[in-house]
Amino acid sequence: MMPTTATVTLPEQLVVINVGLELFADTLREQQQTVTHVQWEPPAQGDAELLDMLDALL
Amino acid sequence: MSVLKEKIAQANFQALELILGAQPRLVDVAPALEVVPGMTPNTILHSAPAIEWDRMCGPHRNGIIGAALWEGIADDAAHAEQMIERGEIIIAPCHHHDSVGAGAGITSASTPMLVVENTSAGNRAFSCISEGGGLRLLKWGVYDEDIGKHLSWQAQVLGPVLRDAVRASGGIDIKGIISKAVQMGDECHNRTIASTSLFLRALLEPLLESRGDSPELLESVRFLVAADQFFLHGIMAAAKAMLMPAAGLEYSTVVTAMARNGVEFGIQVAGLGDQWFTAPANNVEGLFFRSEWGHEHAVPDLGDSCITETIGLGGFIQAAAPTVQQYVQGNMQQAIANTLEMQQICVTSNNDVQIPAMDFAGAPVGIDIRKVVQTGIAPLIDTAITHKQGGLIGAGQVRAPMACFEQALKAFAGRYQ
Repeated sequence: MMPTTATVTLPEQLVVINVGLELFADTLREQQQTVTHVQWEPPAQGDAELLDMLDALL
Repeated sequence: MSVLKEKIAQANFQALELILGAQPRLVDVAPALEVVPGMTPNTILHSAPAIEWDRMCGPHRNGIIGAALWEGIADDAAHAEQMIERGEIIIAPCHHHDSVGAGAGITSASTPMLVVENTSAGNRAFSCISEGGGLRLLKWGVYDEDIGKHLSWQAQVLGPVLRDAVRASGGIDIKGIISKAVQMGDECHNRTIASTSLFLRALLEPLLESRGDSPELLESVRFLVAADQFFLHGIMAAAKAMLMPAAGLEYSTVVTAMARNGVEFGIQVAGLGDQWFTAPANNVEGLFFRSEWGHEHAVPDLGDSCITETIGLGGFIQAAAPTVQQYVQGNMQQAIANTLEMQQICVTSNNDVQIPAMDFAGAPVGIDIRKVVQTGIAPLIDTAITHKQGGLIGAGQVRAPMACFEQALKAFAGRYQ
C-alpha cells in the first residue's frame, strides 16, 4: 500500500512570524513574503558558567 | 531577593535617574584645543575603542593622516606616519576625552566642537561639528585639498558664527529637540532631518541677533540648510553628557558607552568604570548607495554614533522612523518588533521619547548587560557603511557582538559576587 501524503494549500497572503533561526525568514523574504523576525536564543546560549552568574545576579 | 540583587536593582534605578534626569544643553562652539579635556596641538582623536596604529582600519588611518596634514603637523602622509610611530602625534579615542565622533570620529586641535553641558550634573561632553552631507568627508576617512579647504572654512567661518549664535541663545535644549523630532519621524541616528530642522529653528533668531546681515551668516545658513544630518553630532554629544554621570556607579549593570573602531566593538558598564569590553565588530547589513559597492568593500561597524542607541535612540526606536526601514528593506511590523525586542534588554522606558506608531510608548532605555546575556538579544544599531579605504558607501543596521556583554558579565561577577 502506498503511503498517503497530505497536501497543504497556503493562502495567497501569508502572515509569518519567524522565531529563532533567521535563515527561515530570509528564505521567505527571497520569495517576496512579508516576515516579521524575532531574535531568540537559549538563555546565555546554554553556557553553564554564564547561567550560574545570571542566577546570582538577575 | 538576595542582597547583591537588591544592590544591583538600586544602582540601576539610580543610574536611570541620572540618565533620564539629565538636561543636556548646547552651550558653546569652540576649537577642540580650547575646550576638550587633555587636548594638545599634536593630539588626534578617533572613534573608540583604543587600537594600535598598525591594526587600525583604513578610514581611521586615512583620517588621522588627513587631520595631521590639515593641522600642518606633518609635511606629507609618510611624515605623518613616522610621527605617529615615534609618538610625536598622539592618537586616542574621543571617548577618553569626554567626546564622541561619528564615523572615523577624527578630531584635532582646530576642529570646531559642539559643547554640551548636562546642567543637572554639571558635566560637559563634546562632538565635532558635522562636515555636512556627502560621501567624501574626513569623518568617513577621506582627505584631499578640497576637504581641507572645507574644514578650514568650518574652523574660520562656520564655527565662530555658530559660537556667537549659541552664546546669544543662552543655550539650546537638546532633550526637547529629541522629544519633538522623534514625533516627527527621526530615530535620531540614521535620520536627523527633523532634529536638524528644530535646531535651526531654535538658532534662527540668535543667528540674526549675533551676526545681522554679514556675508559669513549667509554662507553659514546656506551650509546648514543643506546639511540634513547636521544635528546628529549635537545629539551624540548630548547622549554622552547624559551617560557620563552614571559611569563608575558601583553595582550598576547599565551600559554607559558603546563604540566601534572598524575592527572591534566595545562597551563600558557603569559598575565597571572606564574598562572597555571588546569583541570583533560585525558587518553592517543595509543599502549600498552605488551598485558597484558591496560587503567586500565595507569596513566592519565603525564610529561612536551608537552612543545614541546607548540612550535608547536609533535602532532602539526604529518604529518611530519608518523611512529608515528603506535601508534594510524592512517594514513597520519589523520595526515595531525590533523596538519590542530592545525593551527586553533595557531597565525601563523613557517617557521623554514617545513613539507615535506604538501608541506613544516610551523608548527602551538603559541597556542591562544581564538581560542581554540572558535573552541572547544584542543591541540593534542603525548606522552608516564605510569603505575600507574611506568614504561613505551605504547605510543600514548591525547588532552589537554578544561577546562584549558576556565578558562584561564575567568581569562584573568577578568583582561583585
